[in-house]
Amino acid sequence: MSKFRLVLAALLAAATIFAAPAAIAADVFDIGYLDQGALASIKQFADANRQLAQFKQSLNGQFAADMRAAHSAADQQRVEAEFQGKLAARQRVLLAPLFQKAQIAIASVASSRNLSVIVDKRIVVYGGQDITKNVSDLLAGPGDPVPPVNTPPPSSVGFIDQAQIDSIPKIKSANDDFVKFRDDQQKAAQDKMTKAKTDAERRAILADFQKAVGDKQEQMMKPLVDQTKSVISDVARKKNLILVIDKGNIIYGGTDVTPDVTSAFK
Amino acid sequence: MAGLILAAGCAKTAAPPAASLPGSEKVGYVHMDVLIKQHPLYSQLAQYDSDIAAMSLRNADPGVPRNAGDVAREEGDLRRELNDAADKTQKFLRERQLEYAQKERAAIQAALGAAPAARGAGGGDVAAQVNSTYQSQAQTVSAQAAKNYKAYSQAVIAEDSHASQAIAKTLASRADRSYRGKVEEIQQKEADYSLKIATEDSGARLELKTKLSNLALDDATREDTKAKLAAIDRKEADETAAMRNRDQATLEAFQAQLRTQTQKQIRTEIEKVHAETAAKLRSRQNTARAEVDQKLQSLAPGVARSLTVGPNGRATMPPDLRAKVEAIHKQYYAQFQHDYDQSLAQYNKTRDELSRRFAALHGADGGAQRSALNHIAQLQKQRNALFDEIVAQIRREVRTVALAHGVRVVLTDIVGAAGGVDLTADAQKDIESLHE
Repeated sequence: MSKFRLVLAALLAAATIFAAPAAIAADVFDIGYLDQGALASIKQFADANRQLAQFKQSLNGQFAADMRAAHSAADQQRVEAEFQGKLAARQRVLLAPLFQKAQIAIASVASSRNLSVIVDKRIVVYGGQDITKNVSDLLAGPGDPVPPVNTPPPSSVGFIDQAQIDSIPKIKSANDDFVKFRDDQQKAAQDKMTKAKTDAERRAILADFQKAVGDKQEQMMKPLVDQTKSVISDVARKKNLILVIDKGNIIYGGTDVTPDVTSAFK
Repeated sequence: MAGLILAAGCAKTAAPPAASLPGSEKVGYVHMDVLIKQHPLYSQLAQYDSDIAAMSLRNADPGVPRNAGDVAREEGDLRRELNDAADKTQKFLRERQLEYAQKERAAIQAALGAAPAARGAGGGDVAAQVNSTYQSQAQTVSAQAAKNYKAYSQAVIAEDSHASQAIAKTLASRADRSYRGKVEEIQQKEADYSLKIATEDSGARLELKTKLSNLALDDATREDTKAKLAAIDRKEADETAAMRNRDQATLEAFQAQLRTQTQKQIRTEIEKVHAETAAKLRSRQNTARAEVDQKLQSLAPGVARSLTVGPNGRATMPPDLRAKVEAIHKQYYAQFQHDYDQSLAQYNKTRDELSRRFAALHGADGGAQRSALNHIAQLQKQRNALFDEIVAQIRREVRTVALAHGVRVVLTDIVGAAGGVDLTADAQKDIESLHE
C-alpha cells in the first residue's frame, strides 16, 4: 500500500513538474478579448454617462445664450472653449475613477487566466478568450478589484501608436498635402454638384471626385504605406512578434513597437 | 495614414503560414476588407456607400449651418445687424432733427431781422428768445414721442421675430415629416419588390442549386448551371438597382418640390406677420405723430402770441410776419418728416431682409438640410445593418477555415505580420462559393 502511495506521489509530482511551465507561463498564442460596449452598459458606467449627458443638457441652454450674446468671433471661441472645458472636467470627475477601476479589473482577470494580451472584441474573428463577463463581475461586485502582483508577461502580439507614426515629419507632410488636395477637390465637386441638374451628372461628378482622390492617394500615400508596413514587419521579426496591431485595439498587455518603428524612419 | 495601413493590409493574401516563431501557426489573421469585397452582397453595400457619398457631397454646403453652435452664432450676427440698423436710423434722425432745428432758428432769425416792425423795442430779441423756448419745448415733446415709439417698436419687432421663428420651425418640421413619410413609403415598396422578385425566382434558383449539388454533374453542365444562377442574381440586382434609381429620382424631385413649397409658405406667412407688424407700427406712428402735432400746436399759439404780443401787451409782430415764421416752421417740420419716413422705410427694408435670412436660418433651408441629413442617417443605418450581416457571415466562414487549419485564434485589422497564418485566400474561396 505504502509502495503504491509512493508511486502515486511520484507520478503526481512528475505530472506537476511537466504541467507547471504551461500553467505558470502565459500562453503566448492565446489572446483574450473584451467587449467594451458591454462594459459601458454596467450600471456604474451607465450612471456616469447619464450624469454626463444631463450635465451637457444643463449647459446647452446657457451655451446657446452665451453664443448669441457673443460680440465677436473671439468671444464665440472663448464661449466654446469654456463649454468644452467644463464638459471635459466633468467627464474626468465622473469617468476617470471608473476607467482606472476597469483597468485594474482587466489586469486582474488577465493575470488569473495567464493571458499576455487583451484586445478589443471587434478585431477577433475567431477563437480567443472572452473575459468580458469576468471583468463585469469584478466591477459589479462588492469592493474594489485587486491589482495583480506581476506585470503582464511578454506577448507575441505587438502594437503601434499610429498617431505617433503619423507625426513622423515625412509622413505628416505627405498626409497634409493629401488632405489639402482632397479638401480642394471636395470643394470643387460641391460647386459642381450645386449646378448639376440630373442624377447622371451628379453621379459623374462623384465618380470623378473619387477617382481624383483615389489616384492621388495611390500616388502620394502608397509608397509610404508600403514602407511603413515593411518596417513594422521587420521590427516584428526582430522582436519575435507574430502580429502587430493598432494601439487603439489593445486593451491590456502587448509589446509596444512604436519607438522601434519611429526610429527606423530616422 | 493609420486607416490606410489598416485598409491596405500587410501582405498579399496567401494560405501558407509565414511562421517565424515556433507555434505561430496557431495564430491566424484575415484581411476583412478583401473578404468583404468578395461577398455576394458587396455590390449593395457599395451602392449604399455611393449614395451616402453623393448625398453628403451635395449637402456639405458650407453656407448652411451645421450645428446648434453655428445656428446660434449666425442668429447672434443677424440680431446684431438688426440692432445696428436701428441704432443707425435713430442716430441719423437725431442729427437731422438737430440740423433742421438750427436751420429753422436761423431762418426765423433772418425773417425777424428783415421785418421793419420787429426792429424796434427789441422785438427781434424777444422773438428769438420765444422761438428758442418753443424749439426747446418742441424738441422735448418730439424726443419723448420718439422714445415711446422706439420702446413700442422694439417690443413689436421682438414679437415679429418670435412669430417668424415659430412659423418657420413649424412649417419646416411639417416638411420634414412629409419627407420622412415619403422615404419610409419608398423603402417599404423597395423591400416588398425585392421580396417579390426573390420569391418569383426562388423556384428556378432552388432547381439550379439542386442540380449543382449533384456530384455526378459534368464540368460543362456545372458551369452552365452556375452561369444561370449568376444570371438570376444579376437580373435581381439590376431590377432592384433600377428601382432604387427611380426611387432616388422620385425622392429628389419630391424633396425639391417640398423645399420650394415650404419656402413659399414660410415666406407668405412671414410676410403676413411683417405686414401686421408694419400696420401696428404705422398706426402707432400716426397716433404718435398726431399727438406730437397736437402738442406742438398747443405750444404754437403761445409762440404766435409771444411773437405778436410783447410782455407789455402791445403788438410786437404783424400778422404777415407771424404767418411767415409759421410757414418756416412748417417747411422744416415737413422736411424732417420726409427724412423720417424715408429712414423708416430703409430700416424696414433692412429688417425684412434680415428677417428673410433669419427665416432661412431656422426655416426651409434648415428643414431641407435636416431632411437630407436624416436621409443620410437612415441610409447609414441600413448600410451598417448590411455590413454587420456581411461581417457575421464572413466570421462564420473564417471559423470553418480556421478549424480546418488548426488555428486557435484569428484576428483582423492587423498592421504588420512576421508570422501567423494568413487565412484570407482560403476564406475568400469559401465566400465566393456563397455566390452559387
